[in-house]
Amino acid sequence: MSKQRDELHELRLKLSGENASHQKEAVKQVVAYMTVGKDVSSLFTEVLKCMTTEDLEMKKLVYLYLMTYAKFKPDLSILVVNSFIQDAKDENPLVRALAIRTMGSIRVEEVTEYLCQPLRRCLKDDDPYVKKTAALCVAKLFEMDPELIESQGFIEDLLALITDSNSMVVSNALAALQEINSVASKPVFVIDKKNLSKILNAMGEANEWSQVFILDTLSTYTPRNEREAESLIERIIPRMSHKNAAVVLSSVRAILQFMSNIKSKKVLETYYRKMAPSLVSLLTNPPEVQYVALKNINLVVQKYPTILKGSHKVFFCRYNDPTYVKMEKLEILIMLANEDNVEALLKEFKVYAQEVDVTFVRKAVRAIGLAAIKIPSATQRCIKHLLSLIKSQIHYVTQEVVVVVKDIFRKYPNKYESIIGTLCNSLTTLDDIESKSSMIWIIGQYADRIENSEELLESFLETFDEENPEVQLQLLTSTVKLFLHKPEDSQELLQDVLSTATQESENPDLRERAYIYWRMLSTDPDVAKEIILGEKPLIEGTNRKYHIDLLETLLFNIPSLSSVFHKPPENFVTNVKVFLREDEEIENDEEGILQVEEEREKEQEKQQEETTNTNQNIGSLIDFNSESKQQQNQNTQQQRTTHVVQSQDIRQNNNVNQDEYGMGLSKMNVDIPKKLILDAEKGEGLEIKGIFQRRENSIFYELSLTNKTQAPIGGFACVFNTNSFGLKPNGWLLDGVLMPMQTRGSSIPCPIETSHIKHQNDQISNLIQLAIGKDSQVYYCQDEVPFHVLCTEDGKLGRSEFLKAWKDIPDEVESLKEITDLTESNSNIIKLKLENKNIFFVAKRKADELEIMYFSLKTEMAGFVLLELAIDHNSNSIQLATRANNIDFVGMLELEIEKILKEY
Amino acid sequence: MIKSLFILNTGGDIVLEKHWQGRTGRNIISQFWNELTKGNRTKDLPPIIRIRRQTLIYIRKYNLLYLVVADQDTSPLMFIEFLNRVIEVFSNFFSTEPTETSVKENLPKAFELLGEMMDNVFPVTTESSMLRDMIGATMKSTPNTIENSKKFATLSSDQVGGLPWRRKNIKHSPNEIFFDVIESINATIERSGKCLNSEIISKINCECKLSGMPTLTMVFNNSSILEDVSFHQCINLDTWERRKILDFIPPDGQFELLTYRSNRMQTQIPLYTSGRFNWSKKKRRGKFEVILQLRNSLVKSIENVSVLIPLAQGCSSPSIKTTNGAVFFNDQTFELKWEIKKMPKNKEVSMKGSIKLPSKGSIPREKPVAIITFSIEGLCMSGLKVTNLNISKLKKKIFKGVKFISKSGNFTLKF
Repeated sequence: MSKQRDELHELRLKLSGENASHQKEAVKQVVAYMTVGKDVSSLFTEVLKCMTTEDLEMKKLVYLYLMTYAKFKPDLSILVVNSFIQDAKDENPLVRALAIRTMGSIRVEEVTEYLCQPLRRCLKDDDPYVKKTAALCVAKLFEMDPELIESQGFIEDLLALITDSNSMVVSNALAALQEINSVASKPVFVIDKKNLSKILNAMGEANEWSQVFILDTLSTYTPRNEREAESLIERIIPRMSHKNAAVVLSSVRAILQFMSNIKSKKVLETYYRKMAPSLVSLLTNPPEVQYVALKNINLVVQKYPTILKGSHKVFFCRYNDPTYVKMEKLEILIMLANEDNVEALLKEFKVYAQEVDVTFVRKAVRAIGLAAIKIPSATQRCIKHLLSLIKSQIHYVTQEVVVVVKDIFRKYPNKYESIIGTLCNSLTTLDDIESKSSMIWIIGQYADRIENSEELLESFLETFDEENPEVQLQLLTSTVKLFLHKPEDSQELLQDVLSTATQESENPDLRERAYIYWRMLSTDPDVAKEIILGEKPLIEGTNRKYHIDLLETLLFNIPSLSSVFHKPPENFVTNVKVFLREDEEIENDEEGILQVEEEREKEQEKQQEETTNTNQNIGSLIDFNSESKQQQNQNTQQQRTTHVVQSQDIRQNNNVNQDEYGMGLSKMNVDIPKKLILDAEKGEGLEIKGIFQRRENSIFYELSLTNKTQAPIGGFACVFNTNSFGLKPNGWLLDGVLMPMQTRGSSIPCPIETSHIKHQNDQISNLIQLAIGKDSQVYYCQDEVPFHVLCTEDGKLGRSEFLKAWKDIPDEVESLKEITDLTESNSNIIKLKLENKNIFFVAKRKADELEIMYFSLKTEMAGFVLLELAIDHNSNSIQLATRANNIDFVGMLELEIEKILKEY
Repeated sequence: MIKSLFILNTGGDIVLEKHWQGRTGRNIISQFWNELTKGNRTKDLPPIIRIRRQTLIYIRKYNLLYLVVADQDTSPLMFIEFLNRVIEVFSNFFSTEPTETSVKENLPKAFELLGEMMDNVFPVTTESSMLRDMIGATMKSTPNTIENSKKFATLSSDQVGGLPWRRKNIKHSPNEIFFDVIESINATIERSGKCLNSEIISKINCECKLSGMPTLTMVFNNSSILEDVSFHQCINLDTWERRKILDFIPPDGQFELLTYRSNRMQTQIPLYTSGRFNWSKKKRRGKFEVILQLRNSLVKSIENVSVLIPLAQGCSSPSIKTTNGAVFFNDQTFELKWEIKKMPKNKEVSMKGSIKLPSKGSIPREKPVAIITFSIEGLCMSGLKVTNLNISKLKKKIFKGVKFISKSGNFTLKF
């Protein structure tokens, strides 16, 4: 600690000294400290003074420092403004640009006001370098204060720059306008007939990054006719040979967009031919670029299946490709499979199926199955490969083969059933849900051909109660099928299953399906047989994974995250952004978030419906990618959440209920076992147990004293040492005398007194040292204060107050903690547990796969503390984010919350 | 758009952090690190991931991890390319590949560079030669004060007024330009020696020391070889599209002119490879043999050939015989390396031997692969030739040259 203080002191001296080279060294050192995360903000004034330097390198470092710390010292930043304004008039264009750039990045409202004048001048500067820097600065400021920018007419200035003679200025102005468009409520700039040619010319001369921006802007343009679309594509095609992969991808997107305006098959064909090599060339880049490229190629191939005809070899996996690249390549290989290349592909797949990585191996097995379904002439060969894989006896390979074989049966019924025998013989234990239900389906479907089908099914039925619902449903159906095939051998089995499913199961799906079967069988077994064992539509192989609407959306968003994660762009609207945008009305802000959430939910539901629809055509079981299933799960989870929210609202409105909790709490107090703080041996016959508790808005130290001697004990006293919380006992330990073998309880109120807070040591501890006196004897012992007793009853914040407070505390103060191995991740129970301890629920919402809850609490020494619990139901873990003005206690609080959540 | 850039070392410590919009807490880094190191899949985490509503995009190079954090929808590829450019620029300015030490030693310079390379969220100047004008590369020897800044005034307008990659008034003596055509062959070879698949990934590197604003045209014998091609931004793409010749004003110094990919080979794969590998369950040993032979009549010599076989964990006690070269076994990484300094002509060389598996544990299911590296000067596998190189607008005598190198890329033998 003190060493650091010395260093800072030394730097301070050097900074304010006269020696220029020492000064420069010191600034360098300060910046170096800053980058390793040391706090050098206390040197702000001294560094500020160095701003007037003549040394350009040093000036840049000072500016760098200002960019980092100005936000925390807005009042001091005002001092800098004058220097900025001076620098923005400097005769060196580099300095002018530097000043404008830095002012734009400082993000301190007070500075923004003063920026307008120099900014306007720089937008009309003679030097193009200054001009283009100023253009970007407008976009930065727009994000902070859109009204200011609009009222000052900066948008018009930017639009004027589009006709500038310098292409660099044009492209930067375009980039700025595009950025503004993405945050503005209505677009400030659209491409039209007039500016189109200007933009196209700028594209030819711009640097690579500007080309990306220009191409992305261009993609939003709708050509007026087919001829214009063609000429635009012709202009863009050469860009596809650019070294920069981002330029290539943005070109691809623009061309794809314009292609939708062209009807001539012949013309489109030429464009495909030109696009293919560029897409393939992307794979010569490092793996990270390849990954993005593959994700995008995937989309393009779904839309235009023949575009990469004959290029399949490029997608063969290499020995040292990272798994994430291999998985994507494999996916594309399956899409490219056709009569001509299937031989070569199968050879590859078989090699992949022998690799080490489990997920990759499983995917390779699936690939073989999909090839079988897609290309009838190759099915026989695929089955041969699959059978040889079964022989490998590797657990996860066999499981995957079962799933795949089931789909082959569904595509080619009555053709390859001869392999059932081999399949049944090599069955090890199946633990994967999908392969288990696949096997059960096969047994049911072919119950008449499998000799011991009833035995096999019976062995699966033994664990019926413990199975996953999906497996249970399959077991039910297969047992019914078995009964229809061999009624004499399986009547008993069927009875058992039907009665378990109808009477013991809590799953409505299962119960109802069981009832339907039951009624069908009891009404007319022959008709039932006709229905249940009737012919089923064949499944079909297809390349398209996504519904056409979603696919179009994803293709339209090609360079963005959507095209990598294959999810519509709404998924990446972060609430941070919403927070920023709706600054004025926080109440609305909150609704804004909820609305976005709701819309997203709806969107996902819609999508999911679509996916299911498509899947029904294909047969829901062959869905190669489990995406839709995940979404399904997510949706059910969301529905569940909605219920919870409702019930919470009811409870919140009901004050009587809350009081009940209060009473519940004090009742519970009795049951909480006290901790031994003084044992009889040490206390010479006096045994004391104690615990800190909170009730009636105060903290009490609940004690029970036992006299284990043969003589009465009296003259009790109790004193606390100064402690981190300032707890001080206010009352007598015990009145009167404790008779031999007698136990008496005592409860001492312990108010918080600021004078009793221990300051001298930095270390915060929840330990309380106490001295207990008895008949002039003194014993020293210690006890822990559970943090929750410090949480006051008025700790509940409204949503808007919470949002505001949350925003006021900077990101970097946030403390994070991972709580894993929870036994219970139900948000309702978590809420109950925490509210029991005066940690109050504020709001909750869904984000990605997480359920996020917000809580607030208040303590006397730390004020309000804000909590965010991101619950991951899949792994039963919680990510706890804590924000508080006084962060000293956060560590302790985090431990306490973990304890509360884990205790029953 | 992106908020921050972090550079991490192999232990997950932050070497450098730069923030463009606000400040990103370091928390996210520790979460990222947990994600990365989870379940021993350090190399398998996709380069773009989402953590707590933020998008993290990372690449790795020279034992450092470069990571950007974005909180809005963004174009990931742009930032991956940007990061690659950062590495390139750092290498140029630090005169060594960026490592933890070299970055730390050059922190102020690194910040200056990042400040110029990206403004707010827009990548701007990423060409080393242009950056050199804005940042004093050798700050100590040339005092860089604002008073003498007339120089900068002109530089700056040159820079934006002219070409984004070349400034005016460059002077060199002597004037010279050299091209290296480097062709790397990726191939998978079966144990019988049959080639399963192959492709050539090539690049043309250029070292340019020419004065003024020279315009170059380069003509190839067969432009169809360059079907899958990516060009440096200096190349006039429209001319290429129309006439299939290269027309460009080169940047100053070293740069990569173009890269291309080709499936067609004019020559045979210069190195014949075959071999076998078997795990013996009884003896708990792996028995193997690798055979190499030079088989291209055009190749005069092939040097520094090596064969690397990564073996299963715990393998030990190799017993090996070779006709040529030396074998090394690393008992930490369990890699076996056979190095042949000079390959004889018209003669097979081989390595034969066995390796012991640990006495307990299962026999590996998969066979290892052999990764082969070699390099041959003067050979061009795709058959590309430069038939004409013309330099205009420069009256002085110019030294020019084109050199060909063929080497192994991903060249693996599957036993």
